[in-house]
Amino acid sequence: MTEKLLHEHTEQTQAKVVVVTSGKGGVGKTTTSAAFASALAVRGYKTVVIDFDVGLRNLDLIMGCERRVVYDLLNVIHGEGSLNQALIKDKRVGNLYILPASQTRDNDALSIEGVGEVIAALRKNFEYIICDSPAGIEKGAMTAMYFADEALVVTNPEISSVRDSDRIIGMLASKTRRAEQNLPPVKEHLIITRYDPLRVTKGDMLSAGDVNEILAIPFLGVVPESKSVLAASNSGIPVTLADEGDAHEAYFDIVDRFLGEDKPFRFMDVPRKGIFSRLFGGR
Amino acid sequence: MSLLYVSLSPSRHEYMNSINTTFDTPVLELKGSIMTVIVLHLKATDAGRLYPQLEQKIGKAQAFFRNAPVLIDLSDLGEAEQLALDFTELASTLRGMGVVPVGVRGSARSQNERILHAGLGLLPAVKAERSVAATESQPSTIQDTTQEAEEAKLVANAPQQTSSAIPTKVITQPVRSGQQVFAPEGDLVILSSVNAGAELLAAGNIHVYGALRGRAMAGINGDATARIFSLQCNPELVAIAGEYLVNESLAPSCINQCVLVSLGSKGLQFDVTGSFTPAP
Ligand SMILES: Nc1ncnc2c1ncn2[C@@H]1O[C@H](COP(=O)(O)OP(=O)(O)OP(=O)(O)O)[C@@H](O)[C@H]1O
Ligand SMILES: [Mg+2]
Repeated sequence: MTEKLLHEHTEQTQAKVVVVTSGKGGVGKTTTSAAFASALAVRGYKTVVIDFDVGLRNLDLIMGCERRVVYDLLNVIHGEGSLNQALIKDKRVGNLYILPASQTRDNDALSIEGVGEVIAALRKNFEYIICDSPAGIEKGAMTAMYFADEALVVTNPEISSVRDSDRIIGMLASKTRRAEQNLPPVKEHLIITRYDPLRVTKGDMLSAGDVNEILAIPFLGVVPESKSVLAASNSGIPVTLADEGDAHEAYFDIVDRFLGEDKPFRFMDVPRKGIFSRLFGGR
Repeated sequence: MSLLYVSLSPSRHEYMNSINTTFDTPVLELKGSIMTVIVLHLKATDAGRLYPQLEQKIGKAQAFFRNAPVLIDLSDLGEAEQLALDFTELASTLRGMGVVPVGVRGSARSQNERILHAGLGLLPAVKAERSVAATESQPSTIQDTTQEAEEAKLVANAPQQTSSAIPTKVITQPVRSGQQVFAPEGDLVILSSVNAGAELLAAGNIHVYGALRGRAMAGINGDATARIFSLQCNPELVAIAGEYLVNESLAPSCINQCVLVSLGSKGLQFDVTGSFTPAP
Protein backbone atom coordinates (compact mmCIF):
# COMPACT_ATOMS: atom_id res chain seq x y z
CA MET A 1 0.00 0.00 0.00
CA THR A 2 2.84 2.34 0.87
CA GLU A 3 4.33 1.69 -2.54
CA LYS A 4 1.11 2.70 -4.25
CA LEU A 5 0.82 5.91 -2.23
CA LEU A 6 4.38 6.77 -2.98
CA HIS A 7 3.78 6.44 -6.67
CA GLU A 8 0.78 8.72 -6.60
CA HIS A 9 2.60 11.39 -4.64
CA THR A 10 5.59 11.37 -6.97
CA GLU A 11 3.39 12.05 -9.92
CA GLN A 12 1.67 14.98 -8.28
CA THR A 13 4.18 16.87 -6.23
CA GLN A 14 7.55 18.42 -6.72
CA ALA A 15 10.25 17.85 -4.15
CA LYS A 16 10.12 20.29 -1.28
CA VAL A 17 13.06 21.37 0.81
CA VAL A 18 12.00 22.11 4.39
CA VAL A 19 14.44 23.63 6.86
CA VAL A 20 13.93 23.15 10.59
CA THR A 21 15.44 26.19 12.22
CA SER A 22 15.27 28.29 15.39
CA GLY A 23 18.23 30.54 16.01
CA LYS A 24 18.47 29.51 19.65
CA GLY A 25 20.04 26.18 20.55
CA GLY A 26 18.41 23.28 22.34
CA VAL A 27 14.82 24.19 21.55
CA GLY A 28 13.97 20.91 19.81
CA LYS A 29 15.04 21.29 16.15
CA THR A 30 16.58 17.84 15.92
CA THR A 31 13.70 16.25 17.81
CA THR A 32 11.29 17.99 15.43
CA SER A 33 13.29 17.09 12.30
CA ALA A 34 13.32 13.41 13.24
CA ALA A 35 9.66 13.33 14.27
CA PHE A 36 8.48 15.36 11.29
CA ALA A 37 10.46 13.37 8.70
CA SER A 38 9.33 10.07 10.19
CA ALA A 39 5.68 11.15 10.26
CA LEU A 40 5.86 12.30 6.63
CA ALA A 41 7.29 8.89 5.73
CA VAL A 42 4.51 7.18 7.70
CA ARG A 43 2.02 9.28 5.72
CA GLY A 44 3.55 7.79 2.59
CA TYR A 45 5.94 10.46 1.36
CA LYS A 46 9.45 9.58 0.35
CA THR A 47 11.50 11.62 2.77
CA VAL A 48 15.13 12.27 3.57
CA VAL A 49 16.36 14.12 6.62
CA ILE A 50 19.76 15.84 6.47
CA ASP A 51 21.85 16.75 9.49
CA PHE A 52 23.52 20.13 8.94
CA ASP A 53 24.97 20.29 12.42
CA VAL A 54 28.51 19.51 11.33
CA GLY A 55 30.73 18.82 14.32
CA LEU A 56 27.81 18.33 16.71
CA ARG A 57 25.85 15.72 14.85
CA ASN A 58 23.13 13.99 16.76
CA LEU A 59 20.32 13.41 14.31
CA ASP A 60 21.74 9.92 13.71
CA LEU A 61 21.46 9.23 17.46
CA ILE A 62 17.86 10.35 17.65
CA MET A 63 17.06 8.35 14.50
CA GLY A 64 18.89 5.36 16.03
CA CYS A 65 21.25 4.81 13.11
CA GLU A 66 24.51 6.07 14.61
CA ARG A 67 26.16 2.69 14.25
CA ARG A 68 25.47 2.54 10.53
CA VAL A 69 27.14 5.78 9.46
CA VAL A 70 29.80 5.24 6.80
CA TYR A 71 29.86 8.43 4.73
CA ASP A 72 28.41 11.80 5.60
CA LEU A 73 27.26 15.00 3.91
CA LEU A 74 30.78 16.41 3.71
CA ASN A 75 32.19 13.23 2.20
CA VAL A 76 29.56 13.52 -0.52
CA ILE A 77 30.30 17.21 -1.14
CA HIS A 78 34.01 16.49 -1.41
CA GLY A 79 33.50 13.48 -3.65
CA GLU A 80 34.87 11.03 -1.10
CA GLY A 81 31.75 8.91 -1.27
CA SER A 82 28.60 8.80 -3.38
CA LEU A 83 25.24 10.08 -2.25
CA ASN A 84 23.83 6.57 -2.34
CA GLN A 85 26.61 5.34 -0.11
CA ALA A 86 25.96 8.09 2.40
CA LEU A 87 22.16 7.77 2.60
CA ILE A 88 21.06 5.50 5.43
CA LYS A 89 17.74 3.75 4.94
CA ASP A 90 15.55 3.63 8.02
CA LYS A 91 14.80 0.12 9.18
CA ARG A 92 11.32 0.91 10.50
CA VAL A 93 9.64 2.97 7.77
CA GLY A 94 10.09 2.11 4.14
CA ASN A 95 10.55 5.51 2.51
CA LEU A 96 12.66 7.27 5.13
CA TYR A 97 16.36 8.08 4.70
CA ILE A 98 18.96 9.88 6.79
CA LEU A 99 21.95 11.82 5.51
CA PRO A 100 24.23 12.29 8.51
CA ALA A 101 26.63 15.10 9.30
CA SER A 102 30.32 14.80 9.85
CA GLN A 103 31.44 14.78 13.45
CA THR A 104 35.07 15.55 12.76
CA ARG A 105 34.95 18.79 10.83
CA ASP A 106 33.29 22.13 11.33
CA ASN A 107 30.62 24.14 9.58
CA ASP A 108 33.08 26.11 7.47
CA ALA A 109 33.65 23.02 5.39
CA LEU A 110 30.08 23.27 4.06
CA SER A 111 29.96 25.14 0.77
CA ILE A 112 26.74 26.52 -0.69
CA GLU A 113 27.63 25.11 -4.12
CA GLY A 114 28.41 21.67 -2.72
CA VAL A 115 25.18 21.56 -0.70
CA GLY A 116 23.31 22.82 -3.76
CA GLU A 117 24.50 19.87 -5.81
CA VAL A 118 23.53 17.37 -3.12
CA ILE A 119 20.07 18.92 -2.76
CA ALA A 120 19.56 19.00 -6.51
CA ALA A 121 20.36 15.28 -6.65
CA LEU A 122 18.02 14.54 -3.73
CA ARG A 123 15.18 16.52 -5.34
CA LYS A 124 15.09 13.91 -8.13
CA ASN A 125 14.49 11.06 -5.71
CA PHE A 126 12.59 12.46 -2.77
CA GLU A 127 9.38 14.33 -2.10
CA TYR A 128 10.48 15.94 1.12
CA ILE A 129 14.00 16.96 2.04
CA ILE A 130 14.12 17.95 5.71
CA CYS A 131 17.16 19.99 6.76
CA ASP A 132 18.00 19.94 10.47
CA SER A 133 19.72 23.28 11.04
CA PRO A 134 22.36 23.92 13.67
CA ALA A 135 21.69 26.67 16.22
CA GLY A 136 22.91 30.22 15.70
CA ILE A 137 22.92 32.48 12.70
CA GLU A 138 26.33 31.51 11.41
CA LYS A 139 27.35 29.77 8.25
CA GLY A 140 25.93 26.36 9.20
CA ALA A 141 22.45 27.74 9.83
CA MET A 142 22.62 29.93 6.72
CA THR A 143 23.61 26.97 4.54
CA ALA A 144 20.85 24.81 6.01
CA MET A 145 18.19 27.42 5.15
CA TYR A 146 19.60 28.60 1.83
CA PHE A 147 17.79 26.14 -0.45
CA ALA A 148 14.59 25.96 1.59
CA ASP A 149 11.14 26.13 0.01
CA GLU A 150 9.44 26.00 3.39
CA ALA A 151 10.62 26.48 6.95
CA LEU A 152 9.58 25.06 10.29
CA VAL A 153 10.47 27.71 12.83
CA VAL A 154 10.86 25.94 16.15
CA THR A 155 10.38 28.08 19.25
CA ASN A 156 10.12 27.53 22.98
CA PRO A 157 7.59 29.70 24.79
CA GLU A 158 10.18 32.02 26.28
CA ILE A 159 11.39 35.47 25.31
CA SER A 160 14.93 34.68 24.18
CA SER A 161 13.83 31.82 21.97
CA VAL A 162 11.07 33.91 20.41
CA ARG A 163 13.46 36.75 19.70
CA ASP A 164 15.96 34.45 18.01
CA SER A 165 13.19 32.95 15.91
CA ASP A 166 12.13 36.43 14.92
CA ARG A 167 15.66 37.06 13.73
CA ILE A 168 15.66 33.81 11.77
CA ILE A 169 12.33 34.66 10.10
CA GLY A 170 13.87 37.92 8.92
CA MET A 171 16.75 35.95 7.43
CA LEU A 172 14.46 33.48 5.69
CA ALA A 173 13.04 36.48 3.89
CA SER A 174 16.38 37.93 2.88
CA LYS A 175 19.22 35.41 2.93
CA THR A 176 17.81 32.43 1.08
CA ARG A 177 17.97 31.37 -2.55
CA ARG A 178 14.31 32.28 -2.96
CA ALA A 179 15.00 35.78 -1.69
CA GLU A 180 18.10 36.27 -3.76
CA GLN A 181 16.52 35.04 -6.97
CA ASN A 182 13.26 36.92 -6.41
CA LEU A 183 11.24 33.71 -6.28
CA PRO A 184 8.10 33.42 -4.14
CA PRO A 185 9.26 33.65 -0.52
CA VAL A 186 10.04 30.73 1.76
CA LYS A 187 6.79 29.53 3.33
CA GLU A 188 7.17 29.79 7.09
CA HIS A 189 5.44 27.69 9.74
CA LEU A 190 5.60 28.09 13.49
CA ILE A 191 5.96 25.17 15.90
CA ILE A 192 6.09 25.83 19.64
CA THR A 193 7.81 22.98 21.46
CA ARG A 194 8.18 22.12 25.14
CA TYR A 195 4.84 23.80 25.80
CA ASP A 196 3.56 23.55 29.35
CA PRO A 197 0.07 25.08 29.74
CA LEU A 198 0.32 24.92 33.53
CA ARG A 199 3.41 27.12 33.52
CA VAL A 200 1.72 29.42 31.03
CA THR A 201 -1.21 29.98 33.41
CA LYS A 202 1.29 30.62 36.22
CA GLY A 203 2.94 33.23 34.02
CA ASP A 204 6.30 31.43 33.82
CA MET A 205 6.02 30.96 30.08
CA LEU A 206 4.63 32.87 27.15
CA SER A 207 1.32 31.61 25.86
CA ALA A 208 0.95 30.28 22.33
CA GLY A 209 -1.14 33.40 21.65
CA ASP A 210 1.68 35.68 22.77
CA VAL A 211 4.23 33.88 20.63
CA ASN A 212 1.92 33.96 17.63
CA GLU A 213 1.29 37.64 18.06
CA ILE A 214 4.99 38.44 18.10
CA LEU A 215 6.13 36.15 15.30
CA ALA A 216 3.06 36.51 13.10
CA ILE A 217 3.59 33.51 10.81
CA PRO A 218 1.22 30.58 10.17
CA PHE A 219 0.95 28.34 13.24
CA LEU A 220 1.24 24.55 13.01
CA GLY A 221 0.72 23.81 16.70
CA VAL A 222 2.37 23.15 20.03
CA VAL A 223 4.32 20.09 21.18
CA PRO A 224 3.78 19.64 24.90
CA GLU A 225 6.69 19.25 27.30
CA SER A 226 6.84 15.51 27.71
CA LYS A 227 9.11 12.99 29.40
CA SER A 228 8.51 10.58 26.57
CA VAL A 229 10.58 12.81 24.25
CA LEU A 230 13.79 12.24 26.17
CA ALA A 231 13.01 8.58 26.63
CA ALA A 232 12.43 8.17 22.89
CA SER A 233 15.59 9.97 21.88
CA ASN A 234 17.63 8.00 24.37
CA SER A 235 16.50 4.82 22.72
CA GLY A 236 17.02 6.17 19.22
CA ILE A 237 13.38 6.27 18.22
CA PRO A 238 11.80 9.43 16.74
CA VAL A 239 8.72 10.36 18.80
CA THR A 240 6.41 9.75 15.90
CA LEU A 241 7.66 6.17 15.58
CA ALA A 242 7.53 5.58 19.34
CA ASP A 243 4.44 4.41 21.20
CA GLU A 244 1.54 6.80 21.50
CA GLY A 245 1.81 9.81 23.76
CA ASP A 246 1.13 13.54 23.85
CA ALA A 247 4.21 14.50 21.85
CA HIS A 248 3.61 11.69 19.38
CA GLU A 249 0.05 12.88 18.71
CA ALA A 250 1.06 16.53 18.64
CA TYR A 251 3.68 15.90 15.97
CA PHE A 252 1.24 13.93 13.83
CA ASP A 253 -1.27 16.79 14.12
CA ILE A 254 1.46 19.18 13.06
CA VAL A 255 2.42 17.08 10.04
CA ASP A 256 -1.22 16.70 9.01
CA ARG A 257 -1.78 20.46 9.26
CA PHE A 258 1.40 20.97 7.24
CA LEU A 259 -0.06 18.65 4.60
CA GLY A 260 -3.17 20.80 4.49
CA GLU A 261 -5.54 19.05 6.85
CA ASP A 262 -7.68 21.20 9.13
CA LYS A 263 -7.26 19.87 12.64
CA PRO A 264 -8.36 21.54 15.89
CA PHE A 265 -5.46 22.65 18.07
CA ARG A 266 -4.75 20.45 21.06
CA PHE A 267 -2.47 20.43 24.12
CA MET A 268 -2.83 24.18 24.54
CA ASP A 269 -4.80 24.15 27.79
CA VAL A 270 -4.18 22.72 31.23
CA PRO A 271 -5.62 19.19 31.19
CA ARG A 272 -8.58 18.77 33.50
CA LYS A 273 -7.56 16.78 36.52
CA GLY A 274 -9.02 13.30 36.87
CA ILE A 275 -10.71 12.08 40.04
CA PHE A 276 -7.48 10.46 41.28
CA SER A 277 -5.21 13.40 40.90
CA ARG A 278 -7.86 15.61 42.41
CA LEU A 279 -8.02 13.28 45.44
CA PHE A 280 -4.28 12.92 45.82
CA GLY A 281 -3.19 16.39 44.86
CA GLY A 282 -1.62 15.53 41.50
CA ARG A 283 1.01 18.07 40.57
CA MET B 1 20.89 62.57 28.08
CA SER B 2 21.72 62.88 24.48
CA LEU B 3 22.49 60.51 21.68
CA LEU B 4 25.06 61.50 19.15
CA TYR B 5 24.22 60.89 15.55
CA VAL B 6 26.50 61.34 12.64
CA SER B 7 24.21 62.42 9.90
CA LEU B 8 25.11 61.24 6.45
CA SER B 9 22.12 62.67 4.70
CA PRO B 10 22.89 63.74 1.14
CA SER B 11 21.77 67.28 1.75
CA ARG B 12 24.42 67.70 4.40
CA HIS B 13 27.07 66.50 1.98
CA GLU B 14 26.05 68.93 -0.67
CA TYR B 15 26.07 71.70 1.84
CA MET B 16 29.62 70.93 2.95
CA ASN B 17 30.86 70.63 -0.58
CA SER B 18 29.48 73.97 -1.44
CA ILE B 19 31.37 75.65 1.36
CA ASN B 20 34.60 73.89 0.73
CA THR B 21 34.88 74.28 -2.97
CA THR B 22 32.75 77.02 -4.44
CA PHE B 23 32.47 80.18 -2.39
CA ASP B 24 30.11 82.05 -4.66
CA THR B 25 27.24 79.55 -4.88
CA PRO B 26 24.45 80.52 -2.49
CA VAL B 27 24.04 78.19 0.45
CA LEU B 28 20.67 79.54 1.45
CA GLU B 29 17.46 80.73 -0.06
CA LEU B 30 14.71 82.97 1.30
CA LYS B 31 11.22 81.96 0.28
CA GLY B 32 7.69 82.72 1.28
CA SER B 33 5.51 79.72 1.80
CA ILE B 34 1.89 78.90 2.49
CA MET B 35 1.40 76.76 5.50
CA THR B 36 -1.06 75.87 8.21
CA VAL B 37 -0.58 77.20 11.71
CA ILE B 38 -2.66 77.34 14.83
CA VAL B 39 -4.19 80.78 15.39
CA LEU B 40 -5.06 81.99 18.85
CA HIS B 41 -7.88 84.53 18.65
CA LEU B 42 -8.05 86.80 21.66
CA LYS B 43 -11.43 88.28 22.50
CA ALA B 44 -10.52 89.92 25.78
CA THR B 45 -7.24 90.72 27.45
CA ASP B 46 -7.83 90.87 31.16
CA ALA B 47 -5.26 88.55 32.67
CA GLY B 48 -7.56 87.15 35.32
CA ARG B 49 -9.70 85.45 32.67
CA LEU B 50 -7.23 85.02 29.83
CA TYR B 51 -4.55 82.93 31.52
CA PRO B 52 -6.82 80.46 33.34
CA GLN B 53 -8.74 79.88 30.10
CA LEU B 54 -5.53 79.41 28.13
CA GLU B 55 -4.33 76.89 30.65
CA GLN B 56 -7.64 75.10 30.37
CA LYS B 57 -7.63 74.92 26.58
CA ILE B 58 -4.00 74.21 25.88
CA GLY B 59 -3.15 72.34 29.04
CA LYS B 60 -5.86 69.80 28.20
CA ALA B 61 -4.43 69.01 24.80
CA GLN B 62 -0.74 69.20 25.51
CA ALA B 63 0.12 66.40 23.11
CA PHE B 64 -1.73 68.06 20.28
CA PHE B 65 -0.15 71.46 20.78
CA ARG B 66 3.34 70.52 21.86
CA ASN B 67 5.98 72.56 20.03
CA ALA B 68 3.35 73.83 17.64
CA PRO B 69 3.91 77.33 16.27
CA VAL B 70 1.05 79.61 17.29
CA LEU B 71 -0.05 82.89 15.79
CA ILE B 72 -1.79 85.38 18.04
CA ASP B 73 -4.69 87.19 16.37
CA LEU B 74 -5.81 90.52 17.80
CA SER B 75 -8.34 91.50 15.11
CA ASP B 76 -11.23 91.27 17.58
CA LEU B 77 -9.62 93.64 20.05
CA GLY B 78 -9.77 97.41 20.17
CA GLU B 79 -6.64 99.45 20.62
CA ALA B 80 -7.31 100.06 24.32
CA GLU B 81 -7.64 96.36 24.99
CA GLN B 82 -4.46 95.63 23.07
CA LEU B 83 -2.70 98.21 25.18
CA ALA B 84 -3.72 96.34 28.31
CA LEU B 85 -2.01 93.17 27.06
CA ASP B 86 1.48 92.36 28.26
CA PHE B 87 2.98 90.65 25.20
CA THR B 88 6.09 89.46 27.00
CA GLU B 89 4.01 87.75 29.63
CA LEU B 90 1.68 86.22 27.04
CA ALA B 91 4.60 84.87 25.03
CA SER B 92 6.35 83.36 28.01
CA THR B 93 3.12 81.82 29.31
CA LEU B 94 2.52 80.20 25.95
CA ARG B 95 6.08 78.89 25.83
CA GLY B 96 5.62 77.54 29.32
CA MET B 97 2.68 75.54 27.98
CA GLY B 98 4.90 73.98 25.37
CA VAL B 99 3.71 75.92 22.32
CA VAL B 100 5.85 78.34 20.36
CA PRO B 101 4.35 81.83 19.76
CA VAL B 102 5.73 83.06 16.45
CA GLY B 103 3.94 86.31 15.79
CA VAL B 104 0.95 88.58 16.07
CA ARG B 105 -1.51 89.63 13.45
CA GLY B 106 -4.27 92.21 13.44
CA SER B 107 -2.48 94.47 15.90
CA ALA B 108 -2.90 98.22 16.09
CA ARG B 109 0.04 100.16 14.78
CA SER B 110 0.69 101.67 18.18
CA GLN B 111 1.38 98.20 19.58
CA ASN B 112 3.97 97.07 17.06
CA GLU B 113 6.97 98.25 19.02
CA ARG B 114 5.86 96.35 22.13
CA ILE B 115 5.14 93.24 20.10
CA LEU B 116 8.55 93.23 18.48
CA HIS B 117 10.10 93.83 21.87
CA ALA B 118 8.43 90.68 23.15
CA GLY B 119 10.29 88.77 20.45
CA LEU B 120 7.22 88.20 18.30
CA GLY B 121 6.87 88.75 14.60
CA LEU B 122 4.35 91.04 12.95
CA LEU B 123 1.92 89.85 10.35
CA PRO B 124 -0.69 91.86 8.55
CA ALA B 125 -4.32 91.22 9.40
CA VAL B 126 -5.64 89.05 6.60
CA LYS B 127 -9.26 89.85 6.02
CA ALA B 128 -9.55 88.23 2.61
CA GLU B 129 -8.03 85.04 3.93
CA ARG B 130 -11.21 84.05 5.78
CA SER B 131 -13.43 83.85 2.77
CA VAL B 132 -10.80 82.20 0.61
CA ALA B 133 -9.83 79.34 2.83
CA ALA B 134 -12.53 76.80 2.12
CA THR B 135 -11.08 74.41 4.66
CA GLU B 136 -11.77 76.89 7.40
CA SER B 137 -15.47 76.32 7.46
CA GLN B 138 -15.07 72.60 7.92
CA PRO B 139 -12.87 72.47 11.00
CA SER B 140 -15.15 74.96 12.71
CA THR B 141 -17.59 72.20 13.55
CA ILE B 142 -14.79 70.22 15.14
CA GLN B 143 -13.59 73.35 16.91
CA ASP B 144 -16.79 73.70 18.84
CA THR B 145 -16.39 70.37 20.50
CA THR B 146 -12.65 70.44 20.98
CA GLN B 147 -10.30 73.34 21.12
CA GLU B 148 -10.62 76.79 19.79
CA ALA B 149 -7.43 76.34 17.87
CA GLU B 150 -8.25 77.40 14.41
CA GLU B 151 -6.37 76.19 11.42
CA ALA B 152 -5.96 78.97 8.94
CA LYS B 153 -3.88 79.43 5.89
CA LEU B 154 -1.53 82.31 6.00
CA VAL B 155 1.13 83.73 3.83
CA ALA B 156 4.26 84.08 5.84
CA ASN B 157 6.82 86.60 4.75
CA ALA B 158 9.46 85.28 7.04
CA PRO B 159 11.82 82.65 5.66
CA GLN B 160 10.17 79.28 6.18
CA GLN B 161 11.20 75.78 5.51
CA THR B 162 9.71 74.87 2.19
CA SER B 163 7.35 71.99 2.61
CA SER B 164 8.08 70.21 -0.62
CA ALA B 165 6.62 66.70 -0.39
CA ILE B 166 9.20 64.38 1.07
CA PRO B 167 8.17 60.79 0.47
CA THR B 168 7.01 58.78 3.45
CA LYS B 169 8.47 55.33 3.78
CA VAL B 170 5.76 52.74 4.37
CA ILE B 171 6.52 49.21 5.57
CA THR B 172 3.73 46.63 5.59
CA GLN B 173 5.59 43.66 7.06
CA PRO B 174 6.59 43.08 10.68
CA VAL B 175 10.04 44.53 11.35
CA ARG B 176 11.96 41.71 12.99
CA SER B 177 14.89 41.32 15.32
CA GLY B 178 18.12 42.30 13.58
CA GLN B 179 16.38 44.36 10.91
CA GLN B 180 16.78 48.08 10.51
CA VAL B 181 14.47 50.40 8.61
CA PHE B 182 15.79 53.83 7.72
CA ALA B 183 13.87 56.82 6.38
CA PRO B 184 16.73 59.27 5.83
CA GLU B 185 14.53 62.19 4.78
CA GLY B 186 10.88 61.91 5.70
CA ASP B 187 8.49 60.00 7.89
CA LEU B 188 8.40 56.30 8.54
CA VAL B 189 5.11 54.41 8.75
CA ILE B 190 5.01 50.78 9.86
CA LEU B 191 1.68 49.08 9.21
CA SER B 192 2.63 46.17 11.42
CA SER B 193 4.63 45.49 14.56
CA VAL B 194 8.26 46.24 15.34
CA ASN B 195 9.77 43.43 17.34
CA ALA B 196 12.44 43.52 20.02
CA GLY B 197 15.86 43.74 18.44
CA ALA B 198 14.59 45.72 15.44
CA GLU B 199 15.46 49.36 14.85
CA LEU B 200 13.66 52.26 13.16
CA LEU B 201 15.36 55.47 12.13
CA ALA B 202 13.66 58.46 10.54
CA ALA B 203 14.47 62.07 9.85
CA GLY B 204 10.80 62.85 10.49
CA ASN B 205 8.05 61.15 12.47
CA ILE B 206 7.63 57.45 13.14
CA HIS B 207 4.19 55.82 13.19
CA VAL B 208 3.80 52.21 14.22
CA TYR B 209 0.32 50.80 13.64
CA GLY B 210 1.03 47.79 15.78
CA ALA B 211 3.23 47.02 18.74
CA LEU B 212 6.52 48.86 19.11
CA ARG B 213 8.86 46.52 20.94
CA GLY B 214 12.14 47.50 19.32
CA ARG B 215 14.03 50.78 19.05
CA ALA B 216 12.62 53.88 17.40
CA MET B 217 14.59 57.02 16.68
CA ALA B 218 12.80 59.96 15.11
CA GLY B 219 14.19 63.32 14.10
CA ILE B 220 17.66 61.85 13.64
CA ASN B 221 18.91 64.97 11.88
CA GLY B 222 17.90 67.08 14.82
CA ASP B 223 14.22 67.79 14.17
CA ALA B 224 12.93 68.31 17.70
CA THR B 225 9.32 68.49 16.51
CA ALA B 226 9.39 64.89 15.29
CA ARG B 227 7.05 62.53 17.08
CA ILE B 228 6.77 58.80 17.59
CA PHE B 229 3.42 57.09 17.70
CA SER B 230 2.58 53.48 18.39
CA LEU B 231 -0.60 51.54 19.04
CA GLN B 232 1.10 49.42 21.67
CA CYS B 233 4.11 51.07 23.20
CA ASN B 234 6.78 48.89 24.79
CA PRO B 235 9.97 50.00 23.06
CA GLU B 236 13.49 49.04 23.98
CA LEU B 237 14.44 52.63 23.33
CA VAL B 238 12.84 55.76 21.91
CA ALA B 239 14.71 58.85 20.82
CA ILE B 240 13.74 62.19 19.32
CA ALA B 241 16.47 64.47 18.03
CA GLY B 242 19.00 62.60 20.15
CA GLU B 243 17.05 62.70 23.42
CA TYR B 244 16.44 59.15 24.41
CA LEU B 245 14.90 56.92 27.04
CA VAL B 246 15.34 53.20 27.51
CA ASN B 247 12.51 50.88 28.41
CA GLU B 248 13.53 50.73 32.04
CA SER B 249 12.96 54.47 32.42
CA LEU B 250 9.50 54.50 30.87
CA ALA B 251 6.52 55.15 33.10
CA PRO B 252 4.69 51.85 33.68
CA SER B 253 1.44 53.66 32.92
CA CYS B 254 2.33 54.06 29.25
CA ILE B 255 3.59 50.51 28.67
CA ASN B 256 1.50 48.72 26.04
CA GLN B 257 -0.81 51.71 25.61
CA CYS B 258 -1.34 53.84 22.50
CA VAL B 259 1.29 56.44 23.06
CA LEU B 260 2.47 59.61 21.38
CA VAL B 261 6.06 60.51 22.19
CA SER B 262 7.25 64.05 21.66
CA LEU B 263 10.09 66.22 22.80
CA GLY B 264 9.18 68.97 25.24
CA SER B 265 11.10 71.40 27.35
CA LYS B 266 11.54 68.78 30.07
CA GLY B 267 12.68 66.05 27.71
CA LEU B 268 10.72 63.24 26.13
CA GLN B 269 7.04 63.34 26.88
CA PHE B 270 4.71 60.35 26.68
CA ASP B 271 1.04 60.97 26.11
CA VAL B 272 -1.27 58.01 26.41
CA THR B 273 -4.07 58.36 23.90
CA GLY B 274 -5.85 55.12 24.72
CA SER B 275 -5.26 51.42 24.65
CA PHE B 276 -5.38 48.91 21.87
CA THR B 277 -5.85 45.17 21.66
CA PRO B 278 -4.62 43.61 18.44
CA ALA B 279 -7.07 41.46 16.54
CA PRO B 280 -6.33 37.75 16.97
N1 LIG C 1 8.57 18.32 23.68
C1 LIG C 1 9.64 18.08 24.46
N2 LIG C 1 9.48 17.70 25.74
C2 LIG C 1 10.54 17.46 26.53
N3 LIG C 1 11.82 17.56 26.13
C3 LIG C 1 12.06 17.94 24.87
C4 LIG C 1 10.99 18.23 23.97
N4 LIG C 1 11.53 18.59 22.77
C5 LIG C 1 12.88 18.53 22.93
N5 LIG C 1 13.21 18.15 24.18
C6 LIG C 1 14.55 17.96 24.74
O1 LIG C 1 15.29 19.15 24.57
C7 LIG C 1 16.64 18.85 24.33
C8 LIG C 1 17.11 19.55 23.04
O2 LIG C 1 16.39 19.00 21.94
P1 LIG C 1 17.01 18.97 20.48
O3 LIG C 1 18.35 18.31 20.47
O4 LIG C 1 15.98 18.44 19.57
O5 LIG C 1 17.22 20.52 20.27
P2 LIG C 1 18.00 21.24 19.08
O6 LIG C 1 17.25 22.49 18.84
O7 LIG C 1 18.20 20.33 17.95
O8 LIG C 1 19.38 21.54 19.79
P3 LIG C 1 20.70 22.10 19.06
O9 LIG C 1 20.49 23.55 18.89
O10 LIG C 1 21.78 21.80 20.05
O11 LIG C 1 20.84 21.37 17.77
C9 LIG C 1 16.75 17.35 24.25
O12 LIG C 1 17.21 16.86 25.47
C10 LIG C 1 15.31 16.90 24.00
O13 LIG C 1 15.07 15.63 24.53
MG1 LIG D 1 20.02 19.82 16.89
